[in-house]
Amino acid sequence: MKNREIASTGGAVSAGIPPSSRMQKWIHRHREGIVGYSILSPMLLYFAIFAIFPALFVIYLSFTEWTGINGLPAWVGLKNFRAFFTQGDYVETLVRAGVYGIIILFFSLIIGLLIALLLNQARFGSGAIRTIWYLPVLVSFAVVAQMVTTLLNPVDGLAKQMMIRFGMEPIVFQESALWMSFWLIVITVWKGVGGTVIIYLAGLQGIDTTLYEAAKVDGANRLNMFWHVTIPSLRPITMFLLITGIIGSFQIFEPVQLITYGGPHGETNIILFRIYQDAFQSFNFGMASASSVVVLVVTLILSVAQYRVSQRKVT
Amino acid sequence: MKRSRKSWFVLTVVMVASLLLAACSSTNKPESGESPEAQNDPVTLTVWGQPGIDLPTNVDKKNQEIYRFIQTEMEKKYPGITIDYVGKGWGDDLRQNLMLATTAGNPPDIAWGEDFVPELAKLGVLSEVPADYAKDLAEGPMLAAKLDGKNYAVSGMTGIFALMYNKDVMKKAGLDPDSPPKTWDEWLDMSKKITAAGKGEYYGSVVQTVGLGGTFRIAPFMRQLGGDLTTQDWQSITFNSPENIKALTFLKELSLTAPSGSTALSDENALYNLVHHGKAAFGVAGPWHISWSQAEKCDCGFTPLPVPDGGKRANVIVGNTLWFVLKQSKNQEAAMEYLRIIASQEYQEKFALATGRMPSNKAAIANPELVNAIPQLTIYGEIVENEAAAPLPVYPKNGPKVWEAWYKAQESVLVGGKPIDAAIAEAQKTAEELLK
Repeated sequence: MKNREIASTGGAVSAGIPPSSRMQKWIHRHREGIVGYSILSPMLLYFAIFAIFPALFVIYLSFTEWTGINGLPAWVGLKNFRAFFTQGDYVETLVRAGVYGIIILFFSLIIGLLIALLLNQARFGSGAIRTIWYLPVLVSFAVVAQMVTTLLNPVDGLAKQMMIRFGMEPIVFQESALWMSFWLIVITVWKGVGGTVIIYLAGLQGIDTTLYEAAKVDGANRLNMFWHVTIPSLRPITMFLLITGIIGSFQIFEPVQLITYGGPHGETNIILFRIYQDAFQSFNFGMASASSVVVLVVTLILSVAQYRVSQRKVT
Repeated sequence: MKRSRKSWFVLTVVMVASLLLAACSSTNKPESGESPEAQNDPVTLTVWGQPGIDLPTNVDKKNQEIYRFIQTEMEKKYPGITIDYVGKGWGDDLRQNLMLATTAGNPPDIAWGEDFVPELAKLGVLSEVPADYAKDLAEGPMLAAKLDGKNYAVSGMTGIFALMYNKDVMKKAGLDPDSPPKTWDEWLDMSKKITAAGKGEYYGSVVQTVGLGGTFRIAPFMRQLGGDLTTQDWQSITFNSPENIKALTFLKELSLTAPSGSTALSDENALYNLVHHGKAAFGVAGPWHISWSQAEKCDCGFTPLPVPDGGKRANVIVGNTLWFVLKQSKNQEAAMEYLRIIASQEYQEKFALATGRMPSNKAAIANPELVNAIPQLTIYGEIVENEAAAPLPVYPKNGPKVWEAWYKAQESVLVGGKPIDAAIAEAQKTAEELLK
């Protein structure tokens, strides 16, 4: 009430008050807001510079042609988007990223859940075993790539020597798109599954034990309990992993850049590596930005659809 | 309570203001608008290039001598000059680093690369080099340094391909190590015999198939038949010429005599060490293999590339290091002086003696002292004299993508099993679209 009075008479009163006092009053009135925004401002500034501006700039660049070196971006309208859908291997690399992503996600969830279930049962050394499973997540992809290229070296790699020792005809993995896709998927699952294990383990340990006791009283066996108690209880976590996994599936980059280089002859190339090639090898920032915008839209659509479906099932 | 709130508010405002001011402040020295040269301050030049043997980080005495020579020469005009050599990779890595640095506005003063000078010149990134700097340099190597008839670089050394053969492997297979193959048929025949005799211990030929390195070693064989990747003016794509298809057919057949899995190798060192270490008899090699094979203790010989029936001797200019000045450099005069030294006979002779590489300076090539010191260079000298050689083409538009289309074709044929006609036709179509 008091505030409203001050506000309604503010104009008349302020005429007779010196400016410094008016300023003080304004500050006093908005002090909470000022403090709040002052605390937030470094973060907002950071967010604007490193997230909002680049995102808007990429959207703008997607309608232009620009090498980043000479001159300003030249407006070309939808040319880059037309090229994305009609020329080169853009759609192919996008679909391939999706396929790799789905397979990687599938195996990560299944293997992650199985390992988490085992770790949840473990009586001895569970901390050490958990650490071992999580270790690959901490190892740099550059190190992993070096290990894998040494292992798969077509001339004298360990894998080749093993095959010869066991009397097999050695396989030159680098000659086959199927084999290189296989290794990409295996390496990515192996490297990332530790994170899934930890999240599932946290979920398993958060399930109310009385639910299992009640199920036991009702005569449920272990499998029944798994299907009717564990799986439903883990649904929110699974949905979280699915959504982040789908977003992540379009962001597979390091194994392709460091292990297959998109080969053999471009058959393991995926959209993010294509964007990198366009931007930092061809210096075609317009095309790279248009591809990024397409990936953004596809990821958004899939994430929203996924979220909607999950919400419907829960309700 | 009131006081404490007020203090908190004041503290927050001061903190945010300090942060913003700190973020907006500049640590740069005030701009005088003049280059260090004009201010008479000691000049600092930054030179980017390939890390390893050719940069002064290498402790080899001869190598150090070269850089002392450059330093002494530069000191004559620029007393107290500092020259920073930075290894920034080679080929695509170097090109990418240069483009990124140029985009960010902080490229080096000078850099040296091999295959992208016309592309950078077209983007307006390079300074034009005065014509008289290149007057003593061989024309072939300088072709890769030009755009629209103007020079944008000087050639510091050059190279061409020969056939390297491991004499021990030839002996083991019952062949005369002093009679290397002269024709495609002889080469293929010998390779097959060696592979058969080796029974998995040693093989016929290594064939480099991946990326630019692969193209460099495929192009001479296309040219021997009159084919090439483009027309002579570099304006139209000719991937699908019958001559190119014939050359790829030969190389595919040759690759079947290679050590198992080696055609998929992208690591050039690993591939040629198969020849140096006696796992294969033949490989296409530039002059840098002379010192390299000696370092690996290989009894390796060098001979001109075998020629097909009805073909002629032809080659590709390779290992052609081009030194250029970036337009954004604030030390234009000093950087150009550096290029003048690189093009000089004195520097190129010293460099050739230290590394076994071929000079581009015509007077240096003719120096008998050089051939006495590195007798294998005689073969390369003979090749330069008798073979038509030119650099790989520079595409008028979308260069990296046109190359990508070609690499895909050569790899799918030589590493994979894709039919040659289909692979080449696909690459031709893609490249033509990219040039439209």
